[in-house]
Amino acid sequence: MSDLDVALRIVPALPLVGSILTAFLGNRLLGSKSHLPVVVGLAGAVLFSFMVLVEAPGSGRISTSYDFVDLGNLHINVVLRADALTAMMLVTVNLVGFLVAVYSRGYMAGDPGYARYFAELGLFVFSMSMLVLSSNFLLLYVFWEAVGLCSYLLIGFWYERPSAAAAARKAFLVNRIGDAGFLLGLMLMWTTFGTLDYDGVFRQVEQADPATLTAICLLLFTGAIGKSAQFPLHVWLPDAMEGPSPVSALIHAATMVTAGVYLVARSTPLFVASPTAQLIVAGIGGFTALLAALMALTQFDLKRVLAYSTVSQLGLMFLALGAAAGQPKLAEFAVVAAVFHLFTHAFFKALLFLAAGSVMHAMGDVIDMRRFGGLRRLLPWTHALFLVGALALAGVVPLAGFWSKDEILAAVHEASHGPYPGFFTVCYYTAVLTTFLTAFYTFRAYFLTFWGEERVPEEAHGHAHESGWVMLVPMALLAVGAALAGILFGPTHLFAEYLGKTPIFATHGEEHGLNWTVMMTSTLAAGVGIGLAAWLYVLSPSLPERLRRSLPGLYELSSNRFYLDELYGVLFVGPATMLSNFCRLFDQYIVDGVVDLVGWVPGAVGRVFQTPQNGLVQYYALATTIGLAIFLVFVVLTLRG
Amino acid sequence: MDSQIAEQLVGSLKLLVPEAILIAAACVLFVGGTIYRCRTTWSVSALIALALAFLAWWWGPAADARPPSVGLVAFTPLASFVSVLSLGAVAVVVLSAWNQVPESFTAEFHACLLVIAAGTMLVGAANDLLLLFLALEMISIPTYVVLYLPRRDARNQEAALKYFLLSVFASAIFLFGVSYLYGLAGTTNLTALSVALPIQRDSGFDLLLGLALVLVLAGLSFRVAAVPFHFYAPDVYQGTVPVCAGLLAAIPKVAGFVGILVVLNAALGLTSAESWFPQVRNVVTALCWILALASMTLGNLLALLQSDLRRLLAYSSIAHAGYVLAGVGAASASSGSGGQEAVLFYLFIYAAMTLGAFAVLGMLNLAERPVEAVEDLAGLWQTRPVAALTMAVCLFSLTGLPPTAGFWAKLYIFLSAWATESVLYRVLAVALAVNAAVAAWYYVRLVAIMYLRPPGREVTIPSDRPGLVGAMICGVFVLAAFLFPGWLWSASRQAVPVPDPSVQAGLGWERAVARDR
Repeated sequence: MSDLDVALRIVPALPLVGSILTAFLGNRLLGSKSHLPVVVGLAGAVLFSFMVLVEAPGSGRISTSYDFVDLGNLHINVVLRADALTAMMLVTVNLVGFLVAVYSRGYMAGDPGYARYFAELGLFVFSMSMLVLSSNFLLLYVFWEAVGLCSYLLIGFWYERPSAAAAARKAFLVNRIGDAGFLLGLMLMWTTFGTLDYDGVFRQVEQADPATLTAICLLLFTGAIGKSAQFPLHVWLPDAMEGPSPVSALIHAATMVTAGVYLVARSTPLFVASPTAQLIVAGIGGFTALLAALMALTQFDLKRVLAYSTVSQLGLMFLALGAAAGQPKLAEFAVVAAVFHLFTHAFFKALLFLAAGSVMHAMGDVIDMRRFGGLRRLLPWTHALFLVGALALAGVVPLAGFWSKDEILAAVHEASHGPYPGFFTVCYYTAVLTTFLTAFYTFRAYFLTFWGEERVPEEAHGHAHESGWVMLVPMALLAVGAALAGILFGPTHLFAEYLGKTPIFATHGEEHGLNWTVMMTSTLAAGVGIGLAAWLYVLSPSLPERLRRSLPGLYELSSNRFYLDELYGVLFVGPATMLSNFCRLFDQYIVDGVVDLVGWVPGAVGRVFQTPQNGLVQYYALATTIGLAIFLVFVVLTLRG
Repeated sequence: MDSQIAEQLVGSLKLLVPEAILIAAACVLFVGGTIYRCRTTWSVSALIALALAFLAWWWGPAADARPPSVGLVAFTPLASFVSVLSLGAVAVVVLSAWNQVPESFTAEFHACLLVIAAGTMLVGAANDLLLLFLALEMISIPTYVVLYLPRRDARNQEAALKYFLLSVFASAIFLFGVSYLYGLAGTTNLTALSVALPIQRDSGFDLLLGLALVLVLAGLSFRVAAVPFHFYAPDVYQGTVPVCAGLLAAIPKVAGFVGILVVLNAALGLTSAESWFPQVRNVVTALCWILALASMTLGNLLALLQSDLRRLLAYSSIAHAGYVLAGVGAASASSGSGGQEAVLFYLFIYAAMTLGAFAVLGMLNLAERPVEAVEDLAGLWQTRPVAALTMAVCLFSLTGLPPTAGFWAKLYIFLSAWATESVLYRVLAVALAVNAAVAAWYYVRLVAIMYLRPPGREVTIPSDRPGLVGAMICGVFVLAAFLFPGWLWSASRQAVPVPDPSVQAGLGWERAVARDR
């Protein structure tokens, strides 16, 4: 085994070991030090994932395998591989995971489930690392489910709260719909290609029937829709904010929800071969981006604003992933744009969530922006860090969000010169509108929280204070990433060159210079959005209320999230409840009856055989002798002749 | 010729160093225990002796580099496999007996355990029927003492006496079978036996060989607690303390099955391409089938009815004997079925999971708060979470559920029974699966009681750290062996006795046998 093989195994192993240690030793032995195994494990994983990052693209890809079971026909082999795309994801997951774990040290201190929290966090980072390290779709699916399980456990972390338990259940169920599609896609893939290995599948794309290929792509995309909270399965993500804030930062902003983007990016060779599927990906992505941005406009829960923003940004990434429809040459540029946005988004959105958590921490767990305000003097550091994140999200030059969002806009703009000009022109303007709305709602939240007169809810018990360094330092490091990740890697083409070494890009597209028109448009949109937010929420704070009253219908529509949750309730949840009631009756009377009968029969038979067991040793010797005699007679009768 | 024999004897003695260390340590403990009474001293000494024996095994010549021996002992990979298993299992028993034996008897108890360990190691190394018998008695005789020492009440004495009487009875049956084998082959040496018997394949010895093997099988079936030689198990397990019940469930079962494999390999050549007594082999196959089916079915059905924990585990151990017998039968039915390696793999895992379960029971069992009925485990999750988790892992493994090694163990037995391509054994494989499902009911019920019921009585349980460590070693092993089954599987595969043609041809056994007769 070379060093890299070892590194590939160590990266997922360290968080897993930390998680297991915490799970078993946490409550009793480690107590308030339960974070140590996971934090140390993640620190090691970060170092080794950087090693993978440096080495992986040089040789195209590296891989290592572990024979789990090797027994004749039964052969289970776990193959890990890393190429540029995986290495990039690996670094993002482990780095953000490490920073979030350090932050959680302060945020979760004193919680009765402290050890459980860190054990689940470690398990999540392990699963996510394995997800991106998988070398075939089946293993990816296994860990796709594993991260879903961790997400379920962490959303419902405070399971004694009914709202948290309900949110966890909702996330789990909605994801099941997506996963069912994913699984069907895998089956179709297996019957079509006879393999689920990435290389094996991608090699055979040329020979496949286009209609089947489109079906496979759309089924895989169904899984991505569920995991990445795209319309119409986006409803679980805002509710998932019931989990602890660092969990929202790590799982529901930076990493797990981007697994869908990773899946589609990883399957680029499949999607490139099916323009129809790409158009649908782009369409759903663009529509979700706008819809979620509209919903975010009227939310008063700070974390929910950020959650809708996550849905919207993920929509933009999917829009980019679909932008190469009919133009295979554009694929590399478009996919790189999407993954670049995934990368920068991980930094600034995690930062925003951690800052929101810091606010929540100071406000005694109140997160409703109507109940506090003007916190910029009370929480100076949090304020500054939130501002960096907000500027990055809004796409202001020269922060990270500007460069990555600009690449997405450029890719879509490029796409509108291809075979589907009308469609992509609409998409382009949708994206520009989303940019404007993003800047507006982000700064609405910023101004509502940090400007205006200072108000602190009574839950803070009068000692609202800035968070400790253990929470501020990870946020500061993320802020550095949010500020610099764009300008360092974007205009210098470092990111594009690095990612271009991933073997999924068969045909290398041409170099794309900076598109000044797009840049000016997006900067203008962002500037107008920020200005409008400043005007409405700082300069004339009474205006939003009057606006709300003059446009009641639109406001209600947005704040009630277009009534989609209610619609699902009537359409799906109601009938499902009725069906489940019927099933319960069936189970109670018919299935249970059969089971009881099955359970009763062995007991009755056993009672018959119990009689000889009477405790008398001479009787036992006799029974043994009789048994032996029967065997001897059997032998004599068989072998006599 | 004489110098050759002397050379071989000296060579063998070098290889017996681990056993010698154990016996020497046992002597020290027996004598020392009369002078100085201290729980910790003697327990630690026993562990040190086991560790030294392990190191002696480790630094001894590698299994394949050892000279093929035709003497009393043969150092095959099987001997190595059994050595490691025996040392590990006895170490766990020492840990869980640490606080369970009255202080005045600690030295004697641990000394007996060391002799048992040496005996088990010799069972794997024996190349002579008489040494095999002696090795088995080296396990049985200290076991009588071990059963008797920890408690002096009537129930315990009854249990020890029952085991003693029936065990002597079984030894006699075994020895009777051995005498037949000697009469047939003119030798008790197993290598010689495997050469002498094929020569006489047409001599009409089928019936005598069949009777001999049935007697040997019956005698060893007592050790493994297979139906209908199982009657002692529930009474003895219930009457004695959990540590001894665990010992009885694990060690004699390993020794008995290894003995069965050794004898069947010598007499019938299970792995050789041609079978020299096909008729006899068919009979053995059929007998194993009956014993396996009866043991697993009866064991599980009766376990369903038990409310006493140790009785329940006793019937469970009978059922497990049935599963292993299915592997033995599969090996006998077809040489390519992989039955023998499945048996060895199963024994290793079974020893860990059953010792783990009994170790947990042992550490919870106190004079003022005996843990006997199933209900006594209620709420263990709240009072002793680590113990409850370990117990749950061991129970899941006994059930055969992933992610525990019990799953692989059952799977391998199932696959070997299936691979025989005989209809009867495929039926047995299905019966095994059904039995595993029935067994799940009573194992999972125990887990449910530990985790879901509120604790019944509030008694502060003093922590028994050595016992907990012993149990946790088993639990962790069972989980680790699920994740990394490869090394154990390849070790089991290597340990399967393979007839060595060079030994058979080169040493002129045919002439020697002819002269003896």
